[in-house]
Amino acid sequence: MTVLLVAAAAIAGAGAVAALVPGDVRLGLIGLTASLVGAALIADPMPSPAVLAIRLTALLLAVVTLRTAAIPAATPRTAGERGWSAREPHAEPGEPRPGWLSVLLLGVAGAVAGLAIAGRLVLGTATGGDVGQPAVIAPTDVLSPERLALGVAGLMVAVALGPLLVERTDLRRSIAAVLAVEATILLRVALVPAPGVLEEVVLGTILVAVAAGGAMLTIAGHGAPVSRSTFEAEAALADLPRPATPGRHG
Amino acid sequence: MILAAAILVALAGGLLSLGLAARLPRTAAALAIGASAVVAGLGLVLDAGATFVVGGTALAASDEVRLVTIGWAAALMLLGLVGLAAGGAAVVTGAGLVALAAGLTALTVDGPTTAFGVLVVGALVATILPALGGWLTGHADEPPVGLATRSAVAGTSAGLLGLVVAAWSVSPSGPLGSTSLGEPDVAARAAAGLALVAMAAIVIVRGGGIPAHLWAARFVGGVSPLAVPSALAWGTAVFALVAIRWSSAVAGSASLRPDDVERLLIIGAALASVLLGGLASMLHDDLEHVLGYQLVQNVGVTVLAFAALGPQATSAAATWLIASAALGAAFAGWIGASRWAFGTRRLGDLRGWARRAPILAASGVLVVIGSVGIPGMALFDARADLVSGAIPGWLGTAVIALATVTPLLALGRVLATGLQRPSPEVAGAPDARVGRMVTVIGGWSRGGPRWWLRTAASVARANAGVGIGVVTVLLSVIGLAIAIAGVVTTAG
Repeated sequence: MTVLLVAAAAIAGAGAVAALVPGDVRLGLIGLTASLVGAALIADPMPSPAVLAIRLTALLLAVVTLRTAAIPAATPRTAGERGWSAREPHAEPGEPRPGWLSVLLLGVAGAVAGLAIAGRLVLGTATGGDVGQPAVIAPTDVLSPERLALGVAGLMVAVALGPLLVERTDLRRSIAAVLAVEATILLRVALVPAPGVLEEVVLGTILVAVAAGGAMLTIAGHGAPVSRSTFEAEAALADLPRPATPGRHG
Repeated sequence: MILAAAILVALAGGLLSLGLAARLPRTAAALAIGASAVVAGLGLVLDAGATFVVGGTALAASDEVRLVTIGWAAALMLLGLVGLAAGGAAVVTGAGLVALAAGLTALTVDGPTTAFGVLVVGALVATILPALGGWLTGHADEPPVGLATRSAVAGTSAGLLGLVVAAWSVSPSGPLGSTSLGEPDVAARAAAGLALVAMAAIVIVRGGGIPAHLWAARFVGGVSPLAVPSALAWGTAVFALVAIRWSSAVAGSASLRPDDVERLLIIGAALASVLLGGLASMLHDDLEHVLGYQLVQNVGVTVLAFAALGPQATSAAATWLIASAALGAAFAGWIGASRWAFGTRRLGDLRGWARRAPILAASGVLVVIGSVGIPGMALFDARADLVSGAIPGWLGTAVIALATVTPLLALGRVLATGLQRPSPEVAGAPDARVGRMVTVIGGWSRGGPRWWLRTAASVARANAGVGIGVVTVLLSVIGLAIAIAGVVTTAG
């Protein structure tokens, strides 16, 4: 089980780094999906099928929502290439963006910080504790899901903080916001394991709501018509003839 | 089941109206206003002891929940009616309904982490959608992305931080997880103090208190005033109520001592909001900013509850928060109506407004009476209890005086401006908008039901100013009633 946990944590971490590596919208969304799936699986024992379904549904909805913002914004990589995903379309020439190595190093530093914090925090299950007496706490293993979750949360916060704080509103910032929310969820689950079903629904709703808000702000930031359909955007990218539908103001 | 119905109606009504807002704005607005009316009605018959269970988690009503349901839903309904004339009714009321559903869930749910999580969603909807409302519905070309982003970040980050602090507090590392309810040790006291400071700071961020006031100031200046109550007044009230309840639980075993540095920090931050918020509300010429800084000052008074936690402070905070939110909604409604009537939001251009629009003047007077209060009114006593509980002695008395006088001066200035000689904007405002009867009602017995309905509709449209004026008076009456009575205990 430990191997699976470490694998899930590694996927979550690598996905988070890939999600924020500049240059490719498609890679960003695939990385985000991998990261969120990995993070949802950092649990021992595995959550019930219902809880797992809630988590997976929420993360897929979040990614699909962000994808709707990516499609109208994306441009083809080169003339003649098809497909909606390509180079990051809205980076201004000369706008400083960290490279993949910087993001990776930031992520590793964040993960180390998260694991170090996990080592100092008293994680585990508190039992007993009569009135006036301290509770008995069963400490967790080094590679317990709680500690791994804190490590991944640290990684996500480290890579997401920069785009969240200093970059302008675009898809990358929205992905960073979703990663920051996921880090918060991991932190919450590490501190008090096994949230109830209602709380799982609420946490999933936050993820989707932040993704939807980010997508809306991304589209608004690019001035793209919000009512433009996925079909229209894909057709535009593929140079297909479009039906002459009026825009928002005409 | 009434509680569940209220939450579901608010959520469904809000989402439906938001979904229809771009294509069918009038239908969406009618839907949202109708849903608000239904929720307010459900609040009236809500049993304060009602409970229900969802996914193994209990949701329990209380007198506070009942009052929030009635006050917030009625405010949404009336603000929606103002919005029918002033514009933006569908988005403002729809987003407010979703925030109301989130707020009710947060107040009733058993578990602070779930409550803060729900409030994140509510804050996000209540800030982003009204900020982008004009662009989403095709009425504005340039979306205020920066404004929407800042507001969403403030509301979301406050909720997420609250969620983490609440989770930490009950984890084995936190003040509740490592110590049971006996005499707390030094580490537990330090942890509890840190948790209280963190939670007070989170409330300041969420409510736009000083020094985190910039987002709130820009939000009130950049969105319709009708959107402000759900985002900042009622939204902050529910958030602070959840935070104060949680803090009371944490401090149950380790309340702060008078000379604790954590307590002094909390009081210092609160005083900054009370003093500077009050001053800014007196000095601003823009009505939205007067409202915004009034709300900032309210946050300051609220934060004082963290310095003197206990059943009395919790009860006083509940009364203070709910009453000041209801009055904030009334003032926002008044601003929306006066902007619609006179076409300006600057106080300098509103000279003589009270002489020109007597119904709006009545509403304004009621807002001033409610916001300032007199001894014996629940709001006044709650403010005095919160301040004197945290700051005993002459300094507490001075702060009570300051927190009472500044709203009087800020709102009194607005009223005094209304009594001056009318400005060109005010003098030129159409009679139909300032609340004067344009179409005389009479001779209706001539036609049949269809003629009667058609005539009633055209008379109502022609005299919309009277209707909007009456709506603002109703908003003020609700605010004043809550300010007088406070949270009335009905549960046995």
